[in-house]
Amino acid sequence: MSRIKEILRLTAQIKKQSVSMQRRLLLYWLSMLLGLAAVLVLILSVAGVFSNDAQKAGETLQLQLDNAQLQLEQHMESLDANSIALSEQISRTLESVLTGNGLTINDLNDNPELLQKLQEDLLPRLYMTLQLSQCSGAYLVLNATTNTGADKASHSATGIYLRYANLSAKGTAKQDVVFFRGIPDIARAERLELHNRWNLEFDTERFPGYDAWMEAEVERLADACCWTERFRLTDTWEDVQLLCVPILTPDGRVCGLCGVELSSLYCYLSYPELNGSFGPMITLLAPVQSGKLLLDKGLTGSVDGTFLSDANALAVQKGKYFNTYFDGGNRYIGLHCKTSVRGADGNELVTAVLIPENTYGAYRNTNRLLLIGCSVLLFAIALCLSLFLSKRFVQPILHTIQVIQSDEIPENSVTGIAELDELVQFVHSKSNAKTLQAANALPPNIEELFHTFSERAKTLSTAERGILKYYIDGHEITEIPDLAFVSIHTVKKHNSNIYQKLGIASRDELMLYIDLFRRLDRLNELTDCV
Amino acid sequence: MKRFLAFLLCVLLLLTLGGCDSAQEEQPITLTIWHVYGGQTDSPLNDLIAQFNQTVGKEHNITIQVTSVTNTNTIHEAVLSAANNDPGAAELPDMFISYPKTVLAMPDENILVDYRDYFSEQELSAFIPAFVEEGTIHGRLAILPVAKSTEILFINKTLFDRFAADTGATVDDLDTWEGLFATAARYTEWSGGKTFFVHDYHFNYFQVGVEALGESFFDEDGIAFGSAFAKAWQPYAEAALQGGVWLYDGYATEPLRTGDAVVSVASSASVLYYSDIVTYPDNTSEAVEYLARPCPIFEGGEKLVMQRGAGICTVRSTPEREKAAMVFLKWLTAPEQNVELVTRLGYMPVTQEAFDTYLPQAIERLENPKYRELYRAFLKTQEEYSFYTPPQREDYLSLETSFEAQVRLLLSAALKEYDGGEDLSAAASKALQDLQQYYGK
Repeated sequence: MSRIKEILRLTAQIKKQSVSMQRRLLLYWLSMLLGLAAVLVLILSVAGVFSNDAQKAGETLQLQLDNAQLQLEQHMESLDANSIALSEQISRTLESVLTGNGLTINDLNDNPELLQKLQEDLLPRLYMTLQLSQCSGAYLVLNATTNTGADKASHSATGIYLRYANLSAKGTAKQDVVFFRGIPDIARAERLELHNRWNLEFDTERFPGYDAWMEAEVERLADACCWTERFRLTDTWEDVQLLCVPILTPDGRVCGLCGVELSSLYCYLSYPELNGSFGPMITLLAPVQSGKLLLDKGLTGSVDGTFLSDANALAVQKGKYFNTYFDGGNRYIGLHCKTSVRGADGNELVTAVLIPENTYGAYRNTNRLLLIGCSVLLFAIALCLSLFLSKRFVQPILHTIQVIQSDEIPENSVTGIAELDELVQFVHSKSNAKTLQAANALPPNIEELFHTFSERAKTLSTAERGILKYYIDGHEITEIPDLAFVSIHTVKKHNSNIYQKLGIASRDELMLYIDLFRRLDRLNELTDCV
Repeated sequence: MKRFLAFLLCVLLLLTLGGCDSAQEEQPITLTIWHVYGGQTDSPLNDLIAQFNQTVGKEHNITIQVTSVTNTNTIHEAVLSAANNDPGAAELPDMFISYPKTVLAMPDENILVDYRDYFSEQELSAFIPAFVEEGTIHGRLAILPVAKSTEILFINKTLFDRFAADTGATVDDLDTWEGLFATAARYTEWSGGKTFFVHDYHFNYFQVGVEALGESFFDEDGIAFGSAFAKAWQPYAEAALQGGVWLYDGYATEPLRTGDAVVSVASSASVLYYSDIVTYPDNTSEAVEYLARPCPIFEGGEKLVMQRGAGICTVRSTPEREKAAMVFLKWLTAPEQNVELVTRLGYMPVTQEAFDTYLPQAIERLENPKYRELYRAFLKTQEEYSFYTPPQREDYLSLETSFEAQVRLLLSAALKEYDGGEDLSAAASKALQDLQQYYGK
């Protein structure tokens, strides 16, 4: 409180101080311009020009999430459809091959010739599925093995697995396909290169959920198909997720699996990051467990421009406009939502879009700097404008004051401001009068005479001054005794004294002096003494 | 007024500095690479790239993203498709592995960085001069040597020993081409028609063979089918007509993995792709051992062997991206990293310091017998052989492609026709005539 009082006291003192007209005017101008700017900013804010960065980021993320969700679901649905069609085709082929020969699925075991025939029949269909689908590979595995006597027979199953050799070339005429699993003679006949880690059959122990699938009861293929978690393909550098669609025997039992493969590289290439004002926006599909997005079990699009590693799990912190995701090292802002894509074991899969928090922060700071910069610029412009205007306004006034203060006032001084011009005119006329008065001054000896006379007048006694006053007022000597209630004799005596003190010899001479003083408008010099 | 302005400036400065905190943080530069080191297997280069990304890359905000690990042929086609803007072609990556033949076939070599713009003379002098020369195309160092290989003879010792025990064949028989093809014929007979030998590149066999026999393989028009060519052709074709030589497409490692062949001549780098377990058509598997020896030579011919190993090309982009690529490449070719990479892949390093200081120690540390065997053969090759580098011809690639296809097709057709009864030598000669006829010779 005391501080406020102090400030108020100081303000009052400042107010009492004389402030230059220009400074005062500068403050008025500045206040007015800044007031106008404030009103403008208020209007723009109300109009939504300065919308909240967080809100804007949230809206952008939501839009991209909706797009990514739609794109992913359409992608997955088309893969589901192609894989279901593949499964149905394989079932029909199996039926014709087995039923035609009076065999069952178990008769495929230890029957390399029949398996080769089957694979030869199924390869074109599998190849077609691979080419028709947006995927990195396609496979079919049947619950039978070439040699039940082999050491690994208990976890070995026949089938074909085709993969693209170079996903960067997908979509071109030069899409090399490699033969990852299957009978090599078939690959050679079709001039397909064997994968560097080719094997004759599938190792079912490394196929996620294979045994459970073989025990499963399936009513509708569409209800049964789902994705495995991401896993590393044995001895390769690639992580994949497999879409599993059961292959059914004519009596409805599961006798194998088929579907397509999505590799992490495929997703990287298929879902590139989107570079917007907030930074690179990445898309991912991942299971959620204990409130964390498990990137190591999902698929991530391109992470260019970020430090996101798909080996991490992302902890989620909910926010007003968007969530914050933390991988232990870096933070991201983003949104996620559930998808209709089915994961293994009924795991919930979500689509998420993320932006590195630091790029978002950079964007926000840039905006802040821009706003500050603009405000400063506006302030500087207002300051300059105020300075200019106040200076321009005050300049003629100061000039006029200078002119007035100077000895010589020009006759035709025009400032462009009517009031000032009038003032100058007025001062000019006054000055002229004074000059004229100065021009009418008496010669020094005469002036001396008058001066001496008026000085002598001051030596008169009161009675003598009264008699002199009657003369100045124009009375005759004879009138004075009655007016002054004295005798004529006394009047004459006073006259004699007056003549002596004033240094004159006669009444005529006195009347002449009085007349001269009246003419020079200096009668007061005598009357003041009277 | 002055005091007020000073205060205003201070406030602005503080606000600006506060705001710059995050904005100044650099965003990572992600560079893509197509490479061949590991094929579809667990790639050693990918491991090194992960190491780079976590260390030097992190310091410099550089992330290397591998978008393709395949073979040079696939990269060759993908690069040319991209460079020619073929429909649907992928964008060129920032870096890719290439032989000079790919660069020579590109429509515009200037889309590649000249490494002399980024490597000082001193830095380049650390590389083995012949490797730098090989990567220099039309005066520009467009291919940076990263790892060099040569052709090595690989033998499935397990299968060979079984065959040798019955027939008395020895590994020394494989020191010459003549001996190798004779053994191939014996193996085919012994095994009931199985293939013995597979060569990665038929083109290389003839090219090096003809040069080793003292003739030039090429002439102005293409391939010079001289007497040395005929000398190289005859044993090869005869063995092929008897079923002893693998004539399918693909790399030499394929038939060795399925037990369909016993011996191969392939790049030393193929060591990564030889599986220690051979899987047979009946789904039984067998653990096998490999022997590695220098490439066979012709009796009386020069000890000449093909020098292989592609290098890395960098595609021109922005100066920042190019500089980032150089940070990675300088790190990768530094002796320590380079030796770590090459000894896991079956290559030789590219700098003299790596050869002299780091390689011997790294070889001593090798635990895998297959790799120890390879480097023994490698060092012997280096000691006894001269290295042959293919010429930089504009038509090299088309000659190689057509020759590979024609030789395989003609010999496959001749193999089908040959029933074993007719004159083997004449059948081989006829196949040669067909080949010459194809080339208008």
